[in-house]
Amino acid sequence: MTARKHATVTAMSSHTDTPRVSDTALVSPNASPFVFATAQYESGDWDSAPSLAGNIIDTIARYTSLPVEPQGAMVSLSSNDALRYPLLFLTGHLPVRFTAQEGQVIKRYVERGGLLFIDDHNHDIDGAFHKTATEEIARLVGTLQPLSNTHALYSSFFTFSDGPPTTSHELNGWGDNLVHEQLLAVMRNDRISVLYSNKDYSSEWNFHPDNKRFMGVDPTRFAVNLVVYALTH
Amino acid sequence: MSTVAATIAGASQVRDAMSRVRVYLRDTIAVRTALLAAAAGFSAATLGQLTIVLGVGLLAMQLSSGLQNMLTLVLPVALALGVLLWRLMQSETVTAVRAALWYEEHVPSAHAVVTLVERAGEELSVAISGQLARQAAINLHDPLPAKAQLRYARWLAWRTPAVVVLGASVALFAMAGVKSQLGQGSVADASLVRSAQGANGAATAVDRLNDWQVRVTPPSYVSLPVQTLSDATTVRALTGSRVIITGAGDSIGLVATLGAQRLNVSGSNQWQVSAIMPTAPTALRVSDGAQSRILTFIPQPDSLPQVQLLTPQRDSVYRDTVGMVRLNAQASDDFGLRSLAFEVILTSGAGEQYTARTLTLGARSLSGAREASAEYALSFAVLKVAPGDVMHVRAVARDLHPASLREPGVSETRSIRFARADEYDSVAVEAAPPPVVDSSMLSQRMLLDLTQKLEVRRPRIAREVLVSESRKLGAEQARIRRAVSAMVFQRLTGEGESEHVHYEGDGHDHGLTAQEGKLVPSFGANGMVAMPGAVASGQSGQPNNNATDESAIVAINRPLLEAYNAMWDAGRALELADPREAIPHMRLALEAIQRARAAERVYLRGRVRPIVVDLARVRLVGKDTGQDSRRRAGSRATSARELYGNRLLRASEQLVIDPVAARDSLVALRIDALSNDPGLSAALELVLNALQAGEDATTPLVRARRALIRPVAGQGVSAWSVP
Repeated sequence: MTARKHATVTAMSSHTDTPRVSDTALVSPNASPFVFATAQYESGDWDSAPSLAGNIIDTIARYTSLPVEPQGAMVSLSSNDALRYPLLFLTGHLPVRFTAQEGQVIKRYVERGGLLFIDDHNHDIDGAFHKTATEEIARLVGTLQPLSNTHALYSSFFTFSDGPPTTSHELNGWGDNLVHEQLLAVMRNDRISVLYSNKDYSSEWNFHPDNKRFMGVDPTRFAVNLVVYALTH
Repeated sequence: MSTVAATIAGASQVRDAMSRVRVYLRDTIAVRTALLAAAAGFSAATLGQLTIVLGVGLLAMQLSSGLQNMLTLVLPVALALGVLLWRLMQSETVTAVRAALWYEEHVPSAHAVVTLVERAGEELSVAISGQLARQAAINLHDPLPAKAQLRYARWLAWRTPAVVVLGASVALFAMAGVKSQLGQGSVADASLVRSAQGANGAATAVDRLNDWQVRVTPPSYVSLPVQTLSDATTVRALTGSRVIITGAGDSIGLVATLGAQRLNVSGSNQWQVSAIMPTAPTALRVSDGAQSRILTFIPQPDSLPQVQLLTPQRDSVYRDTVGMVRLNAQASDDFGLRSLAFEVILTSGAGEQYTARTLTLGARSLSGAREASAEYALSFAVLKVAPGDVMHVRAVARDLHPASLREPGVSETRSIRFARADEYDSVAVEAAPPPVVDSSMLSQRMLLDLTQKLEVRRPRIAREVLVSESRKLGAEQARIRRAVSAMVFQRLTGEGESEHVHYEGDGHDHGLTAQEGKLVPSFGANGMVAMPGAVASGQSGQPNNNATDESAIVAINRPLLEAYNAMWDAGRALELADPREAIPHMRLALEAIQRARAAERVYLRGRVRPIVVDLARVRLVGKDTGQDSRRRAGSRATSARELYGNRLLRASEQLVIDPVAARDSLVALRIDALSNDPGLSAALELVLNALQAGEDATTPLVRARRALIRPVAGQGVSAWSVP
């Protein structure tokens, strides 16, 4: 959020002597670093990818100069604290049924410009998570639509010319035995407000960051695009 | 004819001819004046019409009918009258001399006409006069050049204003057509529309929009009556209702719009507009020329069914996969329910292998009932539930709305998890609810039933039989009471029955005292309940300075205590062979047990250990210490006494800042020290007593500090070989 404000200040800087910038935009980017937040909900196993947060934070620190908190946060969707994070990560295997309070917070979060990234840890479009999560998002925010593989998300930092990167879970035929060509999204004012993935990034990114040194290509690079997009759009 | 007579006759003839020319010119001027006035009026009307068309049609301006009338009628008429008046004031009388002058000017062959006219009464020389008169008469009798000049002069005078009048008229009619297309006809336009109304041409535009009738037909599935409104301005109706507006007169020239949607207006003797009540408030506008009228549509939505899952009330964890859970739900709808059912999603698996089954159970077809309930006994055996499975249960109700994509009403979802056998070995321990309560509740209910039956049979059985059966029931009641008692004391002490068994009257202080067979919470000198920890350590009777109310111990057990006491009263009545007296107490006991079942439970769950990323290391900006990584001996392990000492020091420092927090810290320290440092614990007890009494705690604190540095006998070399 702060980085977005920083971008606003930069964009609004002009050659005039007194640039017109509101006080709310005049926040130092160093004041509040980006915090990777994992959404916590009542039903289901929201904490099924415990190593993912640290891994993404490592990735952000490794490839970008974004100020980032060294530790992620777990925030309850029943709490308005969720509104403090520009990007919320939500995953699980089990059915998702948001409570009334959680539904209100999600609606408010999306209305205020947050990006909710939901990943199906089952990697199974016939699974309970996919069915229930898409139902709930349709009920609360809107119907998920395929996101174009040329969307700005795929070039916000690294360039993924073929759209979302595949995962080993897809290529190994686990789950629904499908390689999902596109992500799903709910757009709001030409901006992604809810991003939904069947690709099981939760499994792909759920390892200790020290293990990256054994990998030819860091599979978590797409997470940088997610974070940068959430902070700059 | 003589010369004089000829002269007189010629002069008279000239004057007559000039009189006709004068009349001709006067008529020409009058017609020209009228044409100029008409040209001014039509031009002004055309400009006004053009202003209206541009303003309404292109700029979407809202012009009032008064302003439109002013532009198209009043101003043009005023301008025409002004021009007419101005021309009349400017024009001079056409005299015979002026006519003669004009004649001589425009007819080259004519001369001496003016002289003859001017000197009509004077004495002229006969010769001259005769010559002039003859010449003038000859000229006047030559009609060809004179008539042509007169006609040409009239053409010149009339041409320009006539062309202006004709052009302005054509433009006026053209713009009237354009404005009619825009639905904003002017008054003149409205008059055109009215003229096209045929047999009913007498009905004016205003009349057609007045006193309309609105007929509202709700959707068939709600079975509501048709509603008729007279001259309504607002329609409140269910979304999807058909609204028909009818009015007097034919439909020619009427324009109806619902929001941005153009509606069809039909009918010859009576116009009619039909619309469907939308989902959002919308205005229906009917325009008739310059007049329009709005009917406000206020939709009333068909709400989704309200569904409540009564049982299970909370998320639960079941230790075993046997048994059943009773599902209860109720639903209501504003217009009627179609069905009510339970939706169960049973998820099995672990790691990367999950399977899910979605089941619809206990479905009821309701055929329009406003309220309904459903229940279903969900057997775990039927579902073949396995340890580790998670069951999500919710109730789903559909109303009578026929749309295929209509959402159902759903209740909150309850999660029921079945524990794995090995999960109690991990940190993610989730305490199972005490199963004893359920069995007690069942037994208590059976006992109540038996007692009620006995009371019914009481008039028909002998006294001995009554006493015998009542005492049997009393013995059963005592058995259940003891079971409840054991559970209460197990909770208080945290010990199982197989170990150090506690019960009422065992000589220990459990925070409860027995009064006439009943259990009541016991309180210390300050009104606090005695702590179970003190019971376990044998230091009973000490007040719990950390407790601020009875919630910690008694509140959890209060329903069971109430059940216990009610059972005691019931048992006494049964022992006295008075089942009627026992029944109210038994009911109280049953209700208390049910409250205990429904009490809020807290399940502890292990927290995920977070990964803290070393950002400097990742970004390669950390500093190299320049030292090798050879392992060195670690520092000496901090002993328990040192820890106690630190805690005591911090608590002592905090006494002047936050006495309450410091006292709590000292209480916690005393509890921790109870097991492995009784001396410190005893010293801290004195500190707490002093604080409680409001005395100076310096001396007891010094004693406590000394207790920490008092040497104790060693137990040999420690396992880490650290002295």
